[in-house]
Amino acid sequence: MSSHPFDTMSKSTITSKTGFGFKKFSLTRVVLILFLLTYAALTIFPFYILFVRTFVPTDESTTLHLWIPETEEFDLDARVGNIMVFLNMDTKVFKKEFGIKGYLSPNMSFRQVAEKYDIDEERLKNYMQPIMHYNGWYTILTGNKFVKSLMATIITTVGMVVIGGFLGIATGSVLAGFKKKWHLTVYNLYMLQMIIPPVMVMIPQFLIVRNLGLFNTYIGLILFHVKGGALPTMIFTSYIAKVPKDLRESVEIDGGTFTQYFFWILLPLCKVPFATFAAILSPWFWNDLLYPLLFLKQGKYTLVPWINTFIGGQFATNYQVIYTGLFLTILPIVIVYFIFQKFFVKAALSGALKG
Amino acid sequence: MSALYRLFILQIFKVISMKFNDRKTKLKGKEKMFTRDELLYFLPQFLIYCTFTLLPLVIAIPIVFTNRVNFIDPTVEFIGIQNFIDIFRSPIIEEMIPAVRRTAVFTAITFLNIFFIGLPLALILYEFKSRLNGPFFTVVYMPYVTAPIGVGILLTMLFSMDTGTMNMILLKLGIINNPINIVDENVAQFALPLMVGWRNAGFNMAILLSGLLTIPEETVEASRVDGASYFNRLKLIYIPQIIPSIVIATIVTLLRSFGNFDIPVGFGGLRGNRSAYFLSVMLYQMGFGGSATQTATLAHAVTISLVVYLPLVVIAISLNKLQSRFDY
Repeated sequence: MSSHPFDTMSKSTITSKTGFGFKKFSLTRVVLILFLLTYAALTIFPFYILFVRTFVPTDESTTLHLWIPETEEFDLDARVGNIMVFLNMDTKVFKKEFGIKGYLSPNMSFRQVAEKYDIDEERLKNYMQPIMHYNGWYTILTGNKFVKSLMATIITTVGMVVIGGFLGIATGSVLAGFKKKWHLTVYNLYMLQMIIPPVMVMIPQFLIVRNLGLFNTYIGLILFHVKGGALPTMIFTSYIAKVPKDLRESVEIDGGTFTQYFFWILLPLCKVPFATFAAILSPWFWNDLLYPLLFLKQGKYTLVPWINTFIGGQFATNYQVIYTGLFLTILPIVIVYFIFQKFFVKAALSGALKG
Repeated sequence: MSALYRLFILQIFKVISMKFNDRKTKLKGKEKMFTRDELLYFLPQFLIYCTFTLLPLVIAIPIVFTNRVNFIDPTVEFIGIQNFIDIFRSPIIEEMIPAVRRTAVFTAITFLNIFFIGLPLALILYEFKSRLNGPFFTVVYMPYVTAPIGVGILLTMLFSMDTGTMNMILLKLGIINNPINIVDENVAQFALPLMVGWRNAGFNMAILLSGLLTIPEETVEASRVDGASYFNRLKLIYIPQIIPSIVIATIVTLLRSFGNFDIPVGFGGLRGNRSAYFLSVMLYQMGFGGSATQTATLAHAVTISLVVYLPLVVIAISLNKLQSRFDY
């Protein structure tokens, strides 16, 4: 933990008087600590509720739950059709599980189904209970869309970060130091990206992607996101400008090519800006809604546009499924965030965001 | 056989590359060769960038002067500046005004969030040295890495009329008598940007804190020795020194909020929630919605986006200029 950015910060100032001039245990200090803890709790609170709500069945959502509720008895007198629609269940899977052939009348109750097809009532109850109670998790995890979207998101995000980082370093290696006049012009062109709102140019962008034949391909989405822009150019250019010129000159004098300089000297040096780049941009790519929505068709969606189809769509009234989907979308990036928190905090405080 | 063939090919390559290298060194010299290779490394990203960021601005201009209805319109005709007149007339203006108003209110409150949420947090972390700072920063920054589309969904989860958890808690504690109706436009107008403030708190805090951390320690120490009060220090040292950070936070907030798409969509903007019908959602519907009751063409959408966002871009550029003047 010694390399945590905050430790060095507090160590240097720990000997000097603290800002408000209060002692180690003063009232102000206690109040501030309480404030920080309260605000942190406020930040966590919606995520905690989201987690709890993934376990609250939709028909219980009008009662307050602050912890995962107990399992309720499954009502066998409920009508099959209602339950199937309400829980977004696939009738085929149900019929296969219990060996029911032919037409299953949706007007029958589960008790009648058990009687007619000679199924043990306990078995039916035990089968339906978890589906009813953990409907969100059941629907998301047994549906084929989740794994597909997750894979699509991972592939595109990793592709964007790796390729984008490589291209960004290549751009930075040329622009660093602004040795020629056109270097600054190009740098300013890249800066333009920061101030053009994506919504402003989305229609012409869609036209271009479609005319290039990149519509509905992950390559198109990746290419679109590795196009560079203000942030990566800023990060890499400013970092590479600090790399000693002697390294470059020594390669030149020894008769090496730029390729050798780039791959053997520059790339290994660029771990730090690459970490900053990845920490800032990978959440953007992971959470992107607009471009996957524009450039992909529904079957190929990444996680966030897939969640978007839930809102007002197939699961409009099944809140549990929406919350579980959102929870599973947020979870991977939050886990990555906590594992690499040091890099994220460093990137956030590096001033890269502010240019 | 194949080994021989490979050897042959290799030889040919060797001869060609030797010749090529020879000519290069003879004609242009070592320095020039380095520069030419540089161009090779710089061009790929620049070409992609031009295609996807600069070219759209260029091809938007001819579309503005046509009557293009959608992407597959076979009969596109030149109609002059008719589109610019159309968008300020009924029925488009009646949709545009509320959308612009909602977006503007949203942007204004998101902007105030920098000062009412981000700045206090940054100042506390800067002044208050404790072991809690690191974990606190990590926790407060966390919402910023989660999906913006979640903001609308979480807001619905917490404040929906019948199923909102926060509504139920507040009712139980007796703080409110009637549940808050989040779909109501007057409530959503303020609740949505406040929830966004919750998500962006870490980002604003990080930007302002990184500005505060660049203040030379001697300056702060000197003012302390001279016995300056905290508010004087805030007014005369901290705020002036972090103006570049504030300007950047302003630019980012202005552009990201005015062009925000994810947050209104998460709040049901594409599914008929009128209080989430922002400018971005309107433009998306006009361009890609394909609904039968469409009053505007694709050319109208492009025209509106240019008319509304170009002034913003100009403001952002001038703010950026201002910032570089302040940057000492």
